[in-house]
Amino acid sequence: MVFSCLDDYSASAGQMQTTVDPYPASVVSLPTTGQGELERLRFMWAHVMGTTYWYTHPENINFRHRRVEMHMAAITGLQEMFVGQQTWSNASVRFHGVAFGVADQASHPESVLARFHVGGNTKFMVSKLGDLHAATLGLHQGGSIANPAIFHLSSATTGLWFHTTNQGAALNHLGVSISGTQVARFHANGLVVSQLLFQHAASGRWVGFKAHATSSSTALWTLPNADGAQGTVLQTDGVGTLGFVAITTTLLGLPANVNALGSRTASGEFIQHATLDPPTAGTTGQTLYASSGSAVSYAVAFSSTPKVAWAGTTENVDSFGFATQITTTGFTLKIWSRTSGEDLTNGAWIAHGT
Amino acid sequence: MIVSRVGRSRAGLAALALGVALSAWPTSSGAQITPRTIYAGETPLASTCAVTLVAPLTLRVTPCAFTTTGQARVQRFNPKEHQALLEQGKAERLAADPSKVRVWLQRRDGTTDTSQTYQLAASIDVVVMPNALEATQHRILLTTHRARQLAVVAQSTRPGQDYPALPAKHRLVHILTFHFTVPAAAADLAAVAIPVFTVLSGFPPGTTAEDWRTQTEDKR
Repeated sequence: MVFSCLDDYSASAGQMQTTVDPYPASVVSLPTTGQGELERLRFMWAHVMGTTYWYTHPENINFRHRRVEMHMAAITGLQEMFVGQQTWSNASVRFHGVAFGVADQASHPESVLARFHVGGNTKFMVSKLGDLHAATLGLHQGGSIANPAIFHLSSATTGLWFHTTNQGAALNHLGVSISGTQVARFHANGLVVSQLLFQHAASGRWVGFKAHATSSSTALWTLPNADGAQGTVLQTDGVGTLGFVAITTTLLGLPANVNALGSRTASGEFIQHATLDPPTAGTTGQTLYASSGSAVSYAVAFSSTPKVAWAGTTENVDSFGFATQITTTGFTLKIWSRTSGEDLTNGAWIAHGT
Repeated sequence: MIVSRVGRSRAGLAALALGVALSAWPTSSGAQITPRTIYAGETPLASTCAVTLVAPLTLRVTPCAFTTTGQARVQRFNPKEHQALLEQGKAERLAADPSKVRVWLQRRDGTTDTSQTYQLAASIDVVVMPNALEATQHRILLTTHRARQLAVVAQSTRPGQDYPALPAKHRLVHILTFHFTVPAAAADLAAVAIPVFTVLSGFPPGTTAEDWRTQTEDKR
């Protein structure tokens, strides 16, 4: 067959657009002319590419219901099966490197939109939520503190990891690793962290909490259900429940195992007891002089009556004193001494209150 | 011994004494009147009561007002905790710092000891009578025996002995002049240091409430 006038065949747009279905009624038809053969090729091209006309939209390729398979023979070097390149030079143009779409009404919810297998195991999968595969985005259940399942490309030891039996964690654990060290893990009881840090917005510095390095047992504290009053402090009940309590402003009483007062030995150690020396031989008695009281005023008034204590002197004088008639503005100091000429103000006092 | 002139009925005598004093003694307090200063801090403490020397042995307390601290605790205002107390009169905002409230302490029976202001309506002259043979100690008190009215009570004693009890039905409001010692047979008080309770507002310069929850003093 000789193409007599192929160059001039498309005499009009209608002729140029003409395609012929080679299988119009489920019956194979044979072309009878060269022009007919071209029209059948045009038909195939237009339908494979999914375009209205065989010559339009050359930038799109639509394989429609075809399954596309690419088989690569055994290779020893790096090969990339799908390669796409795009220069994102125009900020106004949105580009999707890889895009899959499916209507959310599939009768088979176990359908998988994307799945990556390695050695027969699913390493990455995107599926319809709710099926046996559970999550929209799934990762292989592997990973460890040292080798997280999701990791930073520049630091493979920093990322997220899931259950790892060799780490002693259960299936419902999600861990966070930084440089190969577990810094946090979520599980059924909540969040476990090695440190809890807060960053100061202005300075960028950090403050936070961390557990004691040598804790021998687990301790869990339950916070109060409401804020406390101004000036109150947190107190434990001994079994992990914290509550706000007011600070006592009195100095009354000390725990039995606290020795806050005492004399010191030459080496500086406290002596918690003393002996009462008997009177010196020949001494028949001691004279004790009493003051009538000195009125003392504070520098600043207290809102409520404080507690006041008077301290002795550094001189070799046996004396003791008490603060009496204590008010919000002052008190009366009374002193007893074995020295009649002792300056009754030769001492010091402390007033404690609010 | 001290003789005090108390009450409005003695106003004429007080005026007469003042008239005599003016010819020989200045009405200023003089160097022997020494203020015993205290800062009110966050309390409502206030006093305009002053003492002046108007005659060789006569001290005058001029009309004044004295406000006590009451018994309270100052806290940061918390609406949830304090709004009801404010409405019940069991707390009040601090005028100097509205972010704080003064919560009156409640006794076991539910009553409170709130701040009270007392008034001294007329001048009171106190004549100090030295003992002829020995030195004596003296002090002047502000008392009350009628609602919100101040009375002036002068007391004296021998050194080392307690002062006598207050007159019947009198209740101590505050010590106005702390005890001072008058020499035997003294003709005047020129050489006697008389400390007078003097209230200043706020806190000592450069300090705040946080500096004064605990106070100490070493007089050496």
